[in-house]
Amino acid sequence: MALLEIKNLHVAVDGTEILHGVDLTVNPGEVHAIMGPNGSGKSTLSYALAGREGYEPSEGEVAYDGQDLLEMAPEERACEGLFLAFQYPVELPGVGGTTFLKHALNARRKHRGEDELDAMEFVKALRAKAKELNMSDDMLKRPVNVGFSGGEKKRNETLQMAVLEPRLAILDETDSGLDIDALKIVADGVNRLRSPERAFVVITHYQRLLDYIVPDHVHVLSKGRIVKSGGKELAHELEAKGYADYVDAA
Amino acid sequence: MSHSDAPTDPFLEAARSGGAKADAIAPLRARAADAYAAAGLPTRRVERWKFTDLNRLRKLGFSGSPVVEPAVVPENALAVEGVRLTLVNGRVCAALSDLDTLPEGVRVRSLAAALADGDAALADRLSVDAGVTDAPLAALNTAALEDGWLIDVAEGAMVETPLHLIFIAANEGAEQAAACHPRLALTLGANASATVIESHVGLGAGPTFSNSVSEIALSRGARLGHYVLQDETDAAFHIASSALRLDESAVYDGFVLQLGAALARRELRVELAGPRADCRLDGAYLGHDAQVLDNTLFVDHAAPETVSRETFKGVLDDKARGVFQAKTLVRPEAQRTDGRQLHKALLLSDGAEVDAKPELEIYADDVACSHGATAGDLDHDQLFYLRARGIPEATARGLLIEAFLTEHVQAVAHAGARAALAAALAAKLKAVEGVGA
Ligand SMILES: Nc1ncnc2c1ncn2[C@@H]1O[C@H](COP(=O)(O)OP(=O)(O)OP(=O)(O)O)[C@@H](O)[C@H]1O
Ligand SMILES: [Mg+2]
Repeated sequence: MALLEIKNLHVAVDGTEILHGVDLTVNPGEVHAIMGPNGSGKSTLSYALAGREGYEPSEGEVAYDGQDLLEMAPEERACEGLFLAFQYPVELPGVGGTTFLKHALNARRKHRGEDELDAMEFVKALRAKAKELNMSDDMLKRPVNVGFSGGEKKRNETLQMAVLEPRLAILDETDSGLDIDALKIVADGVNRLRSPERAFVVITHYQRLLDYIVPDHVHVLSKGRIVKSGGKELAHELEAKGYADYVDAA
Repeated sequence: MSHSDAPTDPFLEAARSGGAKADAIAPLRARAADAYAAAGLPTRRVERWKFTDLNRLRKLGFSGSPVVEPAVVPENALAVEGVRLTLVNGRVCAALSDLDTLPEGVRVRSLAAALADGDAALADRLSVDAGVTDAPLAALNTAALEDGWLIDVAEGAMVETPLHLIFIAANEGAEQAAACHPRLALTLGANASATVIESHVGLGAGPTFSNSVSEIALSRGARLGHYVLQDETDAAFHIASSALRLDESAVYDGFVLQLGAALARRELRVELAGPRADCRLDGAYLGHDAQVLDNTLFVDHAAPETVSRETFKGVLDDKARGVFQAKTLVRPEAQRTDGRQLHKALLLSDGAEVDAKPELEIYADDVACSHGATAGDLDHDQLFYLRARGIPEATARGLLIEAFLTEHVQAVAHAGARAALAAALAAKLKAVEGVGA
């Protein structure tokens, strides 16, 4: 069974239709890359899948692991293993990073009928993951994303993903703003999670990330529609020629 | 007369009988009784009471307050290491006061004892209305007062151990509302330093009215840290009128956390009387149900290079109302004054309301003053971010509410007070908003 099956998805934001019928099937174990010009609707798609207010689809269906995803509250989607790494991570003044992640992880464990982790166990596990991503303990204690640089915010998204171990992770331009070393660190973080049960949807503008996270499928989203799908060679072609061919076709 | 629609003033009798007492402060009492009789209980037609309605208080039938001797301090009082000085219904409770272990340099007397001794100096230490003009409730306190604390910190004394003043408004099940009029007169000698922590709490489910007055004076170079919790019962009315006078280079660091009472108004008047006097007046409040929580501040910059900082943050749920009135006056001689006011409120329900009225009145030309006020709902992007990580909506809201207030409480300078206030806030958040670990 497909992990994610999107059929004819239409999404309007503030009365303007942005997605005009998107179809996409993601199977367990796969990595899909979505590329496309600015404003083509990539983040809109990710928000609709994560359940953001104001991004409720007007038409179409989304099945996640056989369930109707659109019926679920955002927190339910997350607890069922859907994870969105935000293009623009949100700052939470006064909410410590450790507290935040503990709440998130325990919510998920509770949802699965598992015991909540005690504080000591949790901090130990968190430190280990943070170390893999080259993040200092100090960053974990600070309020979430407050005063973080652009690259630090993206690394923090990756850390959250590593802790929550999602079944389907949507990475919305997680590579933007990362220096070359950080890009490798983040890509390693993703690759460590890859498994036959998990899938990734990687939204990016750059072929470079896909050298590290090699996709099984590449899609071009233009003006709210997927106008071309192919293998990893499509990303190389786009890098060389740009979107001109597909944008005109759309 | 402004209270023509309310023929029976519930406290007129108490003011008159107090005013007739022939003790060491008889003339003061008589003037205070007259002042109360002339003005009566404030109505909303009085400008400074425009936002806070005492009608619910007016309708309660008041008696004096019963003499109560609790065995222990209510558990919602601040958990701080310190010398306890407890008033129950405005009367000294010796059993819950550590009068034998006062720190060096601190003199503490009960006001009742001083009155009984016929201490003639008392009349100079107390005033009719604590310097707050047009303050009938402060005058009522003076007319009716029975007891309280006279505290003096000696010149140059560096007092490490905090004084923990515990005010208990007790009315165990009585139908009649119980009124009390606690009084505090506190002085710090030149270059003295001290920490005073206050817990205003209740005992029993009966209605109470605590009408306190504090007169605090800091001599040249003195430093006072003053941290206050108001967590009275939901049948309580809490009115606190405080007057603070700072001489040259004196420093006052204050924080007020208001969590309890049906209606609470804390009015503070600060006179920055000497050059470079510096006050920080911060506070936070959390209101739910139909609570009314009022913080009214007046800062008088009467000397050059004086500094005032006011930051208040409030969270209001259900049909709760918050009031923040802050006036900063800069007199012509108060050049190079630095005065700042900020109020931020979170409104969690459609029925919640806040009235914020920051005011600057400036007569000097070389000053740096600012004020600001914001009120709004929780940030939707922040809520979604938390929920997108699996955190249930109620918990997510709770985390953001807690963050909004806790961030402010964590800025309290005194470590012991900070921890105790944070714990009081956390306990309340858990009880009323279901927030926290
Ligand atoms: N509130 C709104 N009202 C109308 N249009 C909106 C609104 N919010 C977003 N849009 C539009 O929706 C379109 C898609 O935006 P989206 O953020 O999904 O693009 P994107 O593909 O993620 O772009 P980028 O590569 O720049 O991140 C854009 O044209 C944007 O201007
Ligand atoms: Mg985008």
